[in-house]
Amino acid sequence: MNDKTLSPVEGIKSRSRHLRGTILESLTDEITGAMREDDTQLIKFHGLYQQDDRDLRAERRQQRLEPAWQFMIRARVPAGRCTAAQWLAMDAIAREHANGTLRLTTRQAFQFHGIVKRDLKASIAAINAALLDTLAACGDVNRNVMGTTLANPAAIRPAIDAVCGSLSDHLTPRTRAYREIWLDEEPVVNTAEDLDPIYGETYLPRKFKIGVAVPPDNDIDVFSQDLGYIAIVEDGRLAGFNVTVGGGLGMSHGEFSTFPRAGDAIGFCTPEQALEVAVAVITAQRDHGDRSNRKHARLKYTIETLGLAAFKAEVEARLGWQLSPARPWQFTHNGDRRGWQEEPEGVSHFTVFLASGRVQDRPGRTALAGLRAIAEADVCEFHLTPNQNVVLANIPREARAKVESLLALHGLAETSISPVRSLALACVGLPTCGLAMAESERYLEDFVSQIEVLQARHGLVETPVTLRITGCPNGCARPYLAEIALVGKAPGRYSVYLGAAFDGSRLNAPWAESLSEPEILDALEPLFATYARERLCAEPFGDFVVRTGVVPAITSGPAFADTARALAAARATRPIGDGPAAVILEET
Amino acid sequence: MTVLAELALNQRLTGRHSSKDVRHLEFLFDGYAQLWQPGDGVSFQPQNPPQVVSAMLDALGASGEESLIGPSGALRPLREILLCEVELTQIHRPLLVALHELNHDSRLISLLEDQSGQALAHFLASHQVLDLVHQHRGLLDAQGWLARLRPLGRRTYSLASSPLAHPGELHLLVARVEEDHGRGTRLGAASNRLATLAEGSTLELRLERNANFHLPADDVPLIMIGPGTGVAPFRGYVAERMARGATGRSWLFLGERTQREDFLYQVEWQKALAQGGLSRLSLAFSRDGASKRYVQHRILEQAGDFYAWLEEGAAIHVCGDASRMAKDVHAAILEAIRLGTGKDEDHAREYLQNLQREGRYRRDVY
Repeated sequence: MNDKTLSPVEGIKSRSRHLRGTILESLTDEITGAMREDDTQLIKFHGLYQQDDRDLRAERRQQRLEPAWQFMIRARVPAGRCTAAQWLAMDAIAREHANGTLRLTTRQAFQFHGIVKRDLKASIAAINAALLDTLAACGDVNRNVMGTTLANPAAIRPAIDAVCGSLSDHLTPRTRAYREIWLDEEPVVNTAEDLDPIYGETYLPRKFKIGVAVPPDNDIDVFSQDLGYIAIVEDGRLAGFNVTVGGGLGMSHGEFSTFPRAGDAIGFCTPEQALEVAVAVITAQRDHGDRSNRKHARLKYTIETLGLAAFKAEVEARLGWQLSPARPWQFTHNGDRRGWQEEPEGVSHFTVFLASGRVQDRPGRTALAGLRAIAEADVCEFHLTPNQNVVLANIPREARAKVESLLALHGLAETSISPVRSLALACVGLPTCGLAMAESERYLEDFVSQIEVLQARHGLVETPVTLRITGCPNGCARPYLAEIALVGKAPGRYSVYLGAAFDGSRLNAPWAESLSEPEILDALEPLFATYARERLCAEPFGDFVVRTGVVPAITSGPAFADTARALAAARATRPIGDGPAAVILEET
Repeated sequence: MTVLAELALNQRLTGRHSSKDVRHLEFLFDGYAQLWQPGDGVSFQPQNPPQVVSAMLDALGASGEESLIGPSGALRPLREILLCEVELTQIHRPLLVALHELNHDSRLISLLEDQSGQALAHFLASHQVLDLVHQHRGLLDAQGWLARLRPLGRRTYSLASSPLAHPGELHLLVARVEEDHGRGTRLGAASNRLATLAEGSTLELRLERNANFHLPADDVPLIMIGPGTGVAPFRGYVAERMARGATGRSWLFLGERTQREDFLYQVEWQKALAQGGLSRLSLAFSRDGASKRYVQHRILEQAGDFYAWLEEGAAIHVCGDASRMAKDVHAAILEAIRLGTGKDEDHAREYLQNLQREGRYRRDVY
């Protein structure tokens, strides 16, 4: 790969003096609300994305005003564990500097939207004052480390937290640029002091994601992670982890060299070895990943290029020892537990459902104010879940009544949300995300309601199904691991993917391209009808559509791409105006 | 010279969340480009806002159909006189004097006898004829009021365009006056007439020369200070200099309420900076920070550079509000000179007077 031209971002990284660039100069430039172009890449490593309010774009162009530039700030929260005090600090930032809402991400982090440039520093300082940070929340580094929420048995939770914490700490970039820029620390005299043994001068070729899943829960979608750890519990204690590599969901429409890929288990390690394994995998990706093409730079492509066996050998060479064989595991649960959960000692937990992870005050449902009141009561922890909800965790027996009354007061107590709604995920999309081609978060609740109607018609209301909507194919809401996924192609039009395994172990398959909502519902209706009639006992929808040949079983990333290619070809040869736009593929 | 101009564009420049409605108007007309220069203005005959006329009729207990005599001397329906002939949106000292003579109002006495003039100035700026009619209900009938009101005069706006860069066009920058001093919304006669003018309609415009406020020679460095709508002539200046390929450097000071919503012509200034038509841009947004920042603060912050520009022969042009901005900016310039020369205030004053004599310090304030 050394003979290829490096991608422009590689140049920006290597010239950046360990992620400094001209961020300080960009911040003080009042002539624009934007950052300088190269800095827009570097700020990602600091946890920021430059965005604009796309609803205002056309009108501001006429007003001779630049786009309404604003920033998204992402705060890392390893495994989503957060204290009441930290929650209060995030709540205050949302109200003082952001758009008055908090968003919990699919990676158990906080996101703030709509922060203008001159408020960035105060916001980031406040996040750090709460003992969280934003460094490496985005960018070509290890992102927020995910971990199963309230893993069972409860006795292993401290060990899981410890692994997540040590991975997160150890894989944080060493550069002091972050503290210089945002926290006013003295500049280092010689930036060589920032030398980073893991990331080097140019960091990773692309983003890198780590998650720790504790069966039977696959709430973190371990097979979507570049590096996954599946906890193996023996005799009630944490024996170690199966290691998975090469998961990743981003792809591009119509580019068949890009595809989502589910991770492969390559062996087993002990808890003490977990960090060493991570360093070996990350440095292997650092040295072998494709730095010429950012659409081909994730670990999944490195593994497809080298071959899984060769990649594993490379990792083991770096370790100096061999992984033992992967041990058996079984996932039976996805998503979050609903409502109240009781622990034997009188401790309980409550999952507060948040559509698309958005914490906001609406008439009758004041989630922001309600969670603030509960945090002020200081009787529980706040665990951000991989499905964008928050669990009020470890509520002592004597505080439960107080929490219940606050939940009721703020309209947060309901537990009657349908399974499909509670599992549904959407990315942020319009109006803030620059990549969105269609609505996602703002559309999710409407679309779920339509699906609920369809389910009700066929007696499927209580049947869980994973449904995810993203505004573009980059995969933020993990769409390719959903039994039904809508991926935006154009305003009001989505490509539809079907047939992932409910437990997240198998990708879905491209099924139809560029459908409108009525076309999607018309196409799904007969599937729901036959599913209701012909499903096997407890057979999930994703498995059913594969078994009955509606879509092929996707067993590899390239197989996903092949199906997408065949679908595009079939669509291209279809006579214009000939029936519904849906092209249903026969099993290939 | 008068032209009949067609309004081709009436575009709001402030964002949807702005507290202000500031508009960019583009008029088309035929020929005569050689007759005017950036810095000149146009005047037009305004009309009072129909809402103000209706409120006046209510306050006077009149229907509007009454035939009365206004400043034109002709017998016309009252509604038309109020619409076209008399000042309703601005009041002047003589009107207060006349009211005082009629009823010896104690409040008017204190205003008229105030030595500093500040209370009077504030009263005049925050009141319209309608407020006086309410305050002195029954004192005068409609004809009595008409006899004491000023004729509705022409209003002049600085041109915001360059004949070279925008041939056949006249651009105006209009801040719609819509204020509330606690007695309901008060509209400005001229700004509302322009702001509500529909695209495609025509307006008679008279070119008003402003010989004291034209661009210096192409190679002279130029400092332009134009907060608010005071920026209008400088848009014409910069466009003209760019079209001429002028070599002199230029430094613009702008001020508004917020960066995000009120940065007038933001994208154009960004382009001018990128293309070299503007060398430097200093901004003061009064409502963005904890403390209010105005252009004079930006001058003081950069006093060293400001003085260096003057030593290199720069001319200073100031446009905008006369009541406060011009004084504060004047003081800031004096301070920059004092700091630059290292001498006393008297010397700075002399230095600035010399600039004025040389035509290098010009003001168009109102």
